[in-house]
Amino acid sequence: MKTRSKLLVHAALITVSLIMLTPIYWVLKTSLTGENLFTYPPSILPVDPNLYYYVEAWYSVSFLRLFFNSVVVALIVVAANLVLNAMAGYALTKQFPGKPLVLGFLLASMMIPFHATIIPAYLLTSQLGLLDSKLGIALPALSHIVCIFLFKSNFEAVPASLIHAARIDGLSEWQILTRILLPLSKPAVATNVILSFIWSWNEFLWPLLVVRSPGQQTMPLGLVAFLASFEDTTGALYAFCVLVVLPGLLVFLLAQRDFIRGLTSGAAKG
Amino acid sequence: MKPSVLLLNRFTLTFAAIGLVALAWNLYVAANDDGHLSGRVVAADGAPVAGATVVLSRKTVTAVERVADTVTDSAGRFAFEHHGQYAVVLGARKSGIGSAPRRTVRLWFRDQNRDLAEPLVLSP
Repeated sequence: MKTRSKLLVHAALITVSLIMLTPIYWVLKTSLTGENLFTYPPSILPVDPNLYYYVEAWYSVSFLRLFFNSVVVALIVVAANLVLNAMAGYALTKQFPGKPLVLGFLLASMMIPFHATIIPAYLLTSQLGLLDSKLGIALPALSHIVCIFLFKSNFEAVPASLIHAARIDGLSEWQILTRILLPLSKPAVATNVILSFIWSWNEFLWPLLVVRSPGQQTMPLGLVAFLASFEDTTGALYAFCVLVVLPGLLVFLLAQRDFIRGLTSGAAKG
Repeated sequence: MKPSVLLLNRFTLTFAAIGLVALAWNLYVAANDDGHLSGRVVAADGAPVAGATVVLSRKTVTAVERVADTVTDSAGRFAFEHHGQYAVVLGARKSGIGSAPRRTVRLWFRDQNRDLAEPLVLSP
């Protein structure tokens, strides 16, 4: 590529990046300055930035309780996704009667929005006695079909000869999965961890339905409670938003290299 | 998998670093959370004012609520203990001299010990 066209591509990419980063910058700036959203003219750079709004956000709601609940739910979801999706993905690499039907069923169910199944999901959770519990919040997110197919495509990229050799050496199917396939599919594991963590962390509608006591509230519910109680404290509200987003961002930044590899590897198969 | 691989990867190191910072911060908070808030009250000419009433309040969504009050000593100094707030509003007045405008003092944590460098200035 010529230098000029490279420059143009980079300029376009930088422009798009800046446009996409502007709202995030604005949230961060408001959390440090408390500037009202409707201030005119708005200041581009933060004026007299400070971290006191974070202190206010911390003490205004039971932040540690919300954080602990979100972490527990996210850990349940991530662990369940790793185990269940890996097992399902491995099963789908095998040939068995009715496999096309199972694949078709899984793909078709991806097209049904969660909102359409929310009433049966609620009734099931209720009958299991899991309403207003962390396991109940995690229940519908214990497995994601997208992640099952991610594992499937990654496992299919592993040479079959390796699996045959492992089987000749006497490894059981479970040992092949845990000792051969999963260590060779780190990008898929990272992608599963990130996606399930972020989806669980940001989930709002389902926890809103199943949580009844403040003791089980997660961070997004706490954010709404905060908004309802302290609607005139712009700085603290935005500080709370940053605190809600930060863990997901941190996990993504830590695993982004494997995440991108996980999304692209096996893309030609599947 | 070697134990060193589990211990020395970016996930473990990052979360360990966050844990250490949180631990250090909590130790600092535990050592400095007696709720000791002190300062001085001076007149417009800078002279210390003895016997001025200093009121410590907290701001709520709708109002400013009085939490405690005290009187300055002969050097114009005042102190509050165990105020239990993370942001306070201080005001001072003395009849015959005047009053100081309310000043919001924000703290880094609840009951943080702090000695105010800037005095409360009474003016007519």
